[in-house]
Amino acid sequence: MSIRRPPALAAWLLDRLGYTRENPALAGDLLEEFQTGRSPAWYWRQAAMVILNGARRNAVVLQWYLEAVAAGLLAEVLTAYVLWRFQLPQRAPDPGLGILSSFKWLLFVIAVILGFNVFRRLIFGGRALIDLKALFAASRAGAQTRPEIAASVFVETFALYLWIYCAVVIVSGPSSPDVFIYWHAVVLTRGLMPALWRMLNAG
Amino acid sequence: MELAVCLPVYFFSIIEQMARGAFLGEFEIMVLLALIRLGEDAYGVPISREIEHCSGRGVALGSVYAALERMEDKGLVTSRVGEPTAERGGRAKRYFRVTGQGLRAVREAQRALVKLWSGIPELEGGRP
Repeated sequence: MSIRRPPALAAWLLDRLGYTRENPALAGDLLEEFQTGRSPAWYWRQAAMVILNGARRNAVVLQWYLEAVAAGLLAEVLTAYVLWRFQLPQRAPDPGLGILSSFKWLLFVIAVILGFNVFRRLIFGGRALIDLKALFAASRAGAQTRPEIAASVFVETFALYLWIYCAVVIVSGPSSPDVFIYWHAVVLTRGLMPALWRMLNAG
Repeated sequence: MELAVCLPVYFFSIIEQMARGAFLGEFEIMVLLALIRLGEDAYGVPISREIEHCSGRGVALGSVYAALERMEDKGLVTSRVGEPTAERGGRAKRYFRVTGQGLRAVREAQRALVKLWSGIPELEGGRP
């Protein structure tokens, strides 16, 4: 019996977004039904529902992420108050990012994507919004945790550095508009801290 | 600072607990009933076909799996992985079955719905 191939683009979307890897039984069911004579339009509808269901789950995660960001923002404000109260640095220091300053927008986008991605992994242990395995071209089975650990270390180190820097800037006043980009990168990645706390304290 | 970190964590825990105690949804009941009717060899394809046959409406396999995963988290169903086959691109089937807790949940839902339905003239006799 020859195997009918489902619509290539629909199958590619399900694979790239991680759904078929996360749930191989679902992928097998879709293929099995397609072999019985279902139409390509049927396969597209099924693929759309899989993606839509995943998007709903992501919306819940996004809400939790934003709440975690709000908690991080509160921590930032409290830190800034403490610095102001004790009259710490009067002048905003140079962030010291050197050549990285030229790529601040790219850093911002990476910080948002990685921060949300790692948050999702740490909290839910489920499929990432963007497949880190593909992003870092990891090919070994079970190697997913390595790029994730590397990403989380990068993001948290970067966020911690920016946290300290921006808390000082809040008190001493911004030296340039660039500061607000770093500030946003910190706020968005600080959502990871509650996630790490929960992971470390999980039973 | 610690309070700002801990509060969201405990908030998330409360949300999780609330979700576990919630009522079964309409689609979840249908999936559970289809599972009970099919018995031991129920997986995604026959479950969705059973619901389609009884309801007269198409069902998305993704929605069936989403409901099954939610119910597995709640302890209402369990699953086991079968053997891969060539027709499925080398992917195994995942068989589901209802647990004792799932059966109790369905019975409770049935009791509640029958009570709510009874005594409504518009619904008696199956007339629209």
